Amino acid sequence: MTSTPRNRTGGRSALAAARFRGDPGHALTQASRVHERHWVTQCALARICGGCAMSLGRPIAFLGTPDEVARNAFHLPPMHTACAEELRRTPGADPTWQLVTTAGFEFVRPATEDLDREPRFEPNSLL
Amino acid sequence: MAISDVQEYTHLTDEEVEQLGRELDAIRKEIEESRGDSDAAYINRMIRIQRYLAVAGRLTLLLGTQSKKTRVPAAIAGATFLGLHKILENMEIGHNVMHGQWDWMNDPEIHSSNWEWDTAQPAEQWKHSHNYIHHQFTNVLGYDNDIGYGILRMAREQKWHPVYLGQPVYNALLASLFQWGVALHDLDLERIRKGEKDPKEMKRQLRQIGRKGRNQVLKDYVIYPALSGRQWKTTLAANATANLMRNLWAYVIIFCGHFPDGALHFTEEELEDETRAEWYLRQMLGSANFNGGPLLHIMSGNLGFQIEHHLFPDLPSNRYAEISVKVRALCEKYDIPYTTGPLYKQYGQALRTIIKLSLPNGMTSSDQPEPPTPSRSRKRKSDSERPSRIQELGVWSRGKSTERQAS
Ligand SMILES: [Zn+2]
Repeated sequence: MTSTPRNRTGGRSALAAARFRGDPGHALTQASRVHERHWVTQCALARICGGCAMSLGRPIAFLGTPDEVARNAFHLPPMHTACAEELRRTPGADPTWQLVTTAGFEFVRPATEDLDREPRFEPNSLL
Repeated sequence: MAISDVQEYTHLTDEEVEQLGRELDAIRKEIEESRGDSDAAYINRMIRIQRYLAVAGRLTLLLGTQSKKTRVPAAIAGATFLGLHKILENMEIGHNVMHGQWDWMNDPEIHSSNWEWDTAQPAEQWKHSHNYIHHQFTNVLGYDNDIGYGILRMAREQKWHPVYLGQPVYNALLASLFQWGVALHDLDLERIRKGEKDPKEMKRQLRQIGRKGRNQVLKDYVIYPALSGRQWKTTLAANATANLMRNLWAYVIIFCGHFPDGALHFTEEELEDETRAEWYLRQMLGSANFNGGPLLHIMSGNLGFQIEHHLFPDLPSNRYAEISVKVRALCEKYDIPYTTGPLYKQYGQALRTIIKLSLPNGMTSSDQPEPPTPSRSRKRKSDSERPSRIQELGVWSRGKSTERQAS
């Protein structure tokens, strides 16, 4: 693992920050780019894992709070199942995160009228 | 003319842009909800046809070339079958599968993470350079490497240099060696020239290209010719012809997507906060379609519906034709240009731009149409004010993941 990734958007969104429990200084610093809009978009389009940056596999895993699972709208990038499991175990991870697997997803950019201002993922074939 | 404010260019109000966005969302939703068995049957049929073409091509060359009487017709037929196989596989199948258009099927093979196509570029690099860089930063100068592939000057905003005088020649080379141009695409030659490329990532990519390229060369120029025994030369020539056929065709189709007159370039600085509707608008203005029948559209990977593909890159390509009717109606309703024309005309315009831009701007005139209504001139930000280029992929724990893949 190398340095904390560069964040050009100037910090985490309120939504992303709300998912963190505990001390954010120690929490998920290595993986903090999973909340960066650039990174999330790149993962979505280039079909790479938000954790390890390698090509995604099948199934595709998403981590989400019960609310995100209920809405079928996730904000963390797609991941390998193993990477998602590992992120879920990382100190500072949200203990309510659930792991969902799917074969595919829709990538939805935020619209002006959306309350949710972050790009989101809607799994389209849950497994 | 590159434009810096898409909305201003189209003279639409905020509310109109958002309304257009909602109408496009509705089109998207309708396709997502009706996606099903008949679409799956379509892609499976394409893959079957593509495989029959490959087998027919290889067998015709292996067997047909053995007798002197059938040698020439077999070489011609074999090369044609193989060329069509490569075109269909690269354009309608590989490109679209790698976008994730068919992921919803949950097919172990027809999936964006598994498909490896019959061309020199590794799928992983294509998904970065095309799916991400080109589709996210479409026609944005300084971001989108598809603007001239790092070789050609395709926009008047790109600074002229005497080296561009050779542009018609580079263009011919790019067209005939297109699969190798594409193979080097994700390396980002311009950044290598400027010394901005991470040497470690460059080495990793070069190794990947080397492996994939070697396998392609082995297959087409060593193994299959060797299997033809004494007729190896005929098979080798036929395979080279098939590759050339695919190269020229793919090049023409791709250059028709964003370089005919009317497809705009952008100097957009506000990419960060672009809303979905604004993103739709930029995609529509930066792309160009061409007309044709169903067969032409299939053989061009449905990229004759480039506008629809850029609006919905992950919806199944067989639905673009029906989507295009609605998108065109929306363009009329909102008075937005919908750039289209016959293939020869669209390519002719791209070629004219290639030739014109080999010369300094002062010696030629622009062929871009005027905006719908005159737009206010706006001060362009200096380079230092613009955001730095997007980051390389894989800065975080690349090593660990490679190990995971290998294990
Ligand atoms: Zn991973």
